[in-house]
Amino acid sequence: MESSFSSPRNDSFPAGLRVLVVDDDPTWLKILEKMLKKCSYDVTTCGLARDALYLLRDRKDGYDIVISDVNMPDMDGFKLLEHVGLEMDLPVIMMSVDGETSRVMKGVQHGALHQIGFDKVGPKKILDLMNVPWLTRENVASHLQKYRLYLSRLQKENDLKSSFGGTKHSDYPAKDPQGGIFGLQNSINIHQNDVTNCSYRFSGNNLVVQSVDSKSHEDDVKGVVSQPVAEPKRGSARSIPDSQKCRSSQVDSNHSYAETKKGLIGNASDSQKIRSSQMGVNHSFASVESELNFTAFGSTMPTKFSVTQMKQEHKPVIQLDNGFNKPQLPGPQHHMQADVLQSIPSISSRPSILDGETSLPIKNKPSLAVFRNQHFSHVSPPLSAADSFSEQTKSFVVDQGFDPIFTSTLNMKNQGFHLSNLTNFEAAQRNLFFGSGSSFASLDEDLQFCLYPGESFGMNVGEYSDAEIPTQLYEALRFGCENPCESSEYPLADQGLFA
Amino acid sequence: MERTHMRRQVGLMRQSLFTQGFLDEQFIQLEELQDDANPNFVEEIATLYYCDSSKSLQTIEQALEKTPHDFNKLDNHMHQFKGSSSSIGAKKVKDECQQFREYCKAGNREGCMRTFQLLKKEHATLKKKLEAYFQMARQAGPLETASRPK
Repeated sequence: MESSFSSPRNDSFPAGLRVLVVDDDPTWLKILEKMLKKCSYDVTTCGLARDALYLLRDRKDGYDIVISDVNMPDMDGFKLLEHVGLEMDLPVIMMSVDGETSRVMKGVQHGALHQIGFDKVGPKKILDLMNVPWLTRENVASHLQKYRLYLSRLQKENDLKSSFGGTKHSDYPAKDPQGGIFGLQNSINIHQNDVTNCSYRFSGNNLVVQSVDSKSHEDDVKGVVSQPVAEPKRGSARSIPDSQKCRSSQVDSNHSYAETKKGLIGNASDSQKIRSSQMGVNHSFASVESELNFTAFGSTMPTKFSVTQMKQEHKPVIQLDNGFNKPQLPGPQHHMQADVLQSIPSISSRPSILDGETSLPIKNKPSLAVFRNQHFSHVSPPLSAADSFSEQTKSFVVDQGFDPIFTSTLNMKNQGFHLSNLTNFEAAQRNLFFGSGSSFASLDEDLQFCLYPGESFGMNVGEYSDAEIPTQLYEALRFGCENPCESSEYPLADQGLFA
Repeated sequence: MERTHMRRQVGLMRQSLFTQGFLDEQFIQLEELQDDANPNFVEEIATLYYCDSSKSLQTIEQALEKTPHDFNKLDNHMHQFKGSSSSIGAKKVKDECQQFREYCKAGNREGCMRTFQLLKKEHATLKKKLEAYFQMARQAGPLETASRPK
C-alpha cells in the first residue's frame, strides 16, 4: 500500500537511505529497525559487529550510513567505527545509552564525527523522526544551531588562506577517516602570508561537538571567531576564560594558552603571535563545528579552523599549511600539535597539502577531532611523533582524494569548512556520535595542543607536553581521548615548525 | 457497550502503569511506532525483551553466586541489562539496575545481592502487568495508542 511512509518531506528528506544498524540487544535492534523504517529508510539489521563488517565489505556500496551501538560483546563499537571509517568511509552514528562523556570522547577519537550541525538539517530530521530518546535531541538541536552559527561566522572570516583540516584521530595512525573528528574538525586556516610566526597551534579543538558543554564553548567560539585576530594577545581572552571553565584541563597550558593565544581566532596580526593556535577557542567550538579562523600567524594570515568532519572526500579538513612553517616562532620549534596543523597556504584545493601532509606530523592522535594531531612537521626540530603523525596526517589530511569541494570550502578564503561543504559531507558521510549524556570529558589529555605560551607570538610554544592542550580546548573537546601528543609534546612548534 | 467499557478499562490500566512508575516515556515512544504495518508492535517488543532479559538475569545470578564477586563484570552485565530494560521503558527495573550498579562500584556485596532480588521482583511484576494489559487490549480491540498519560 502506499507506504504510509511516504514522507511529505521527500524533497529534502533522504528517503530510501540505506542504513545498517548494529546492536547486540535484540530488543533495541527491533525498535531501531522500526523507527528507521518509519523514516522511509531502507534498513538492514545486524546483531554482531563482525556480521556488519562482513555485510559492508561484501557490498561496498550497499549502504549509506551505519548506526551502531558502542558496547557490543564481540567487538567494541568504536573499533567498528574505525573499520568502517577506514575501509568504507561511511558515516557512522554511534549510540549509547549511557552517554558518558568519556564514551563520547572515545567516539570522537575513533573518528566519529559529530555532525549535528548540518545545514541540511538532515540529521536532525532523522533524529526527530527517529525520536530516539538517547540521542538527546536537544543536544542535537543545539549543536546544529551552534554549528550553523559557527559556520556562518567562519564564512565571514574569509581571509584565511590556509585552512587546516584537523582530524582527530588519535588512534588512527592510518587514515583516520575524517570521521574522526568528532564534532569539529577545525581546520585551521592560516594564512600564510607572512607567517613568520605563525605558530599555530591549533589545538585540536576540534570541537567535540558533544552536545554538552557546547554552550560555554559556543560562546567562546563565537568570541573567538569574531575576534579577528587582533592582538594576539589576549584578545581572545574571552575564549580562554571560557574554555577554562569548561575544562580544567590539566595543562596549565591553558594559561599560557590564554595568554598567548588569545589569538585563537584571530589573526595573529603580530607576526609572532600565532594565535591561531589558540584555537583553544576551539573549545567553544566544540559545539560548533565551524571553522575557526585564525590568523595566527603573525602575519596577517588569519588562521582558520574549520571544523570539518568530512569524512568522505573531504577528509579531515585539516590542511595544514605547510606554508606556515615559515613563521619563526621564537619558541622551540615544535610541531604543532594542534590539530590544525596543517594550514594550507592558500588553501585552495589542497589535495596536495593533504598528501603532503604526511610530512606534517600529526602528533596526537586525533583523539578529538581537534587538531591535535597535527603536528607540523615542517618545523625543523622534529617533533617527535612526527612520524606517527605523518601517517595520520595522511589520513586526514591527506585526503588524497581531496575533494575539491572540500578544499574549496576550506579555503575559501574562509574557513575551510563551509557549510555548504558540510552539506556535502552530509551527503557523503558523516559519523555521528550521539551520546545520551554527551558531555565531553576532559579532553585535556588528548588535546595536545600546541599552544605555547608564546611570548611573542600568540602561541604558546612548547609548553605543552602531552595532553597539554589547553584546557580550554579540551573543554570543548572533552574527550576522553588519550593524549594525542604523545611524544612530541611540543605543541606547536612555533613557527619554527613552519619554517 | 462492553467494548467501550473494556476499552476504558484498558485505558485505565495503561494509565496506572505510568502513574505507578512501572513504565516511562519510552513506552509511549514504542506505542507511537506501532501502526498498521505492525499492529502489535509494542507487545512484540515486550515479548522480545522478556525473552532476552530472562537470560541476562540468569547470567547475572550466576555471576553473583561466584565468590568473590567480580564487581567489574557484574557492573558490565548490569549496564547491559539496564540498557535493555530502558528499551521498553521499564522504569522500576531500571532504577534497581542503577542501584545495583552503585553497589557494585562501592564493592558492596550485600547491597548487590539485596538489590538483585528486588530487581528480579520488579522484573516479574512488570511482566505480569504487561501481560494482563496486552491481553485486555487485544480483547478490547484497537485502542488509540500514544496517548500521553495525564
